[in-house]
Amino acid sequence: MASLCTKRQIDKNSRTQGRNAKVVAPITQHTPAAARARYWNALTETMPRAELDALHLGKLQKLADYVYEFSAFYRRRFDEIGLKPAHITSLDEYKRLVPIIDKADFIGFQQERPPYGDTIAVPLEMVAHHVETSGSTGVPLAVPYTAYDTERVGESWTYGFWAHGIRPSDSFYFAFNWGNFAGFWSCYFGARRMGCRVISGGGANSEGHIQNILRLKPTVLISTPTFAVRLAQVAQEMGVDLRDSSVRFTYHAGEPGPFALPAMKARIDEAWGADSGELLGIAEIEAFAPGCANRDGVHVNEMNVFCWSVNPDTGEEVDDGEIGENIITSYTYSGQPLLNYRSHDLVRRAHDCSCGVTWAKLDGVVLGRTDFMITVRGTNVYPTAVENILGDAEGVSPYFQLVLDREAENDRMTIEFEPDKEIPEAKWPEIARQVSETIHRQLHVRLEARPMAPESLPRYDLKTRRVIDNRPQELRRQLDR
Amino acid sequence: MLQPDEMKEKLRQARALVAEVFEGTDLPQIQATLRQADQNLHWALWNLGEVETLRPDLPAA
Repeated sequence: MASLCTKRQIDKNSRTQGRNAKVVAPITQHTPAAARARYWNALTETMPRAELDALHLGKLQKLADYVYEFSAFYRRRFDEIGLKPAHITSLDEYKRLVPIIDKADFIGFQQERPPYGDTIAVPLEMVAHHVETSGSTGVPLAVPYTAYDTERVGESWTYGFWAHGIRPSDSFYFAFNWGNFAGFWSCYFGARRMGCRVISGGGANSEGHIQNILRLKPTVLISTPTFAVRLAQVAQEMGVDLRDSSVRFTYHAGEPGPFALPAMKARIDEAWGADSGELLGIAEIEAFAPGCANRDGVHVNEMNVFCWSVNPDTGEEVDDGEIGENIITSYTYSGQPLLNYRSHDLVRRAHDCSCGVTWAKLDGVVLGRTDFMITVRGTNVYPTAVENILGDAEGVSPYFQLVLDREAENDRMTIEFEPDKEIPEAKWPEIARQVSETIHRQLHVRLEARPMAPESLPRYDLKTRRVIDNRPQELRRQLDR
Repeated sequence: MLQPDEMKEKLRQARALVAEVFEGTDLPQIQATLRQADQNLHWALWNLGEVETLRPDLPAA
């Protein structure tokens, strides 16, 4: 079968010829026509809205039947309000009748009856893969994948890879340590689905990642966006110019990325000489929104999830083009289905994208958070969670603030606090250490706690300003600027 | 090229064949491969717009 290479591949090969020439493998997994296809699945990605909505209604009705039969949590919830699956006769009825739920609604069940509580909808022996959320609110949420779920959860990544120009002949380098975190497992499943070569960077430090990339010549880097920039800095310190490397694409999740922040895309693309992309996912719900081929947003994978948006203050549905909180239902987590789940992501839905995909587009990806979350070294951190810990910390006065800035291309949060007045200055470092340890133990992130002299922090007459955001405007989500 | 309805019909036939072999063997290895095959066939149908069930019916290991 004839080999195929894109203009980008040819251009970059020409640019680097004689120094670090790239190997473009023949595509052997698809027929030639399929390999040239513009979409991963044109039938569904360009499906007219009316047909998509009819499909959604059928899936939501099946899902309601399923959770009523298999999920103790949902059966109880439905019974409490007299809801039967047969009552769902339209998308509007679904939105109106099925309760909107939040993480807090069911995380308690998992703590009472670990690991999965009443939200599990399959026998334990059907759980093929255990993953977790990052625990950014203090408690990781356990997610039980069935074997079938692992096949399906990666598909959104694959749609995004294909739209981005990535093909089965590409090879993926995963620059992170493999643990229970759901996000990059789903990416791995997607790379496997496409049929690409997969290289694990597990266990390597930054220098090791660079050496692995030079030695193994992957064409796609998978990492958080800020880690891609960090790796480029480390490479520069090692005397390596990654623009000459084999990597032609980088693809990211877990933080505001290149399709949300044009400045981030410019940094990554320049540092790697590659084309960066982004997927939006939520660990407990789905890797649900692959990047648009136009590289300015993501499309909701309407084969796997159903989304709509509400005004977070009133709960009323908002129209396309208006900013609202994304409410998500996943069809593909049969182990732990979640219906009408609050994402806390503020998004702006649009249709009629010029890329031809009819699935709803989230223009600019996530524009802000209803609960203001930032990401510190790959871990999501809610300032309110830090505030709650500080409020209970021994030796810490009510006067503290969280200072956000950037360090080595990462968001950084520093806690500035005034110790209680009666505590001698010699004991301040020990209090700071205890604060830092408590936060690490509960939120899984290391933050510097800096004691400040009494009366040195600002006092407020009205609402205390806890968060001082000194990050550059262009590296904040749109609504945080 | 097959039309979507023709693809779906052939995939349904393939699932029926897979189920027939699954029921007709006690070899755990063969059952494991068939379970995966059925999952993929179900997924192919799903991605052609078929919404019959949320998950395949072959019993777990």
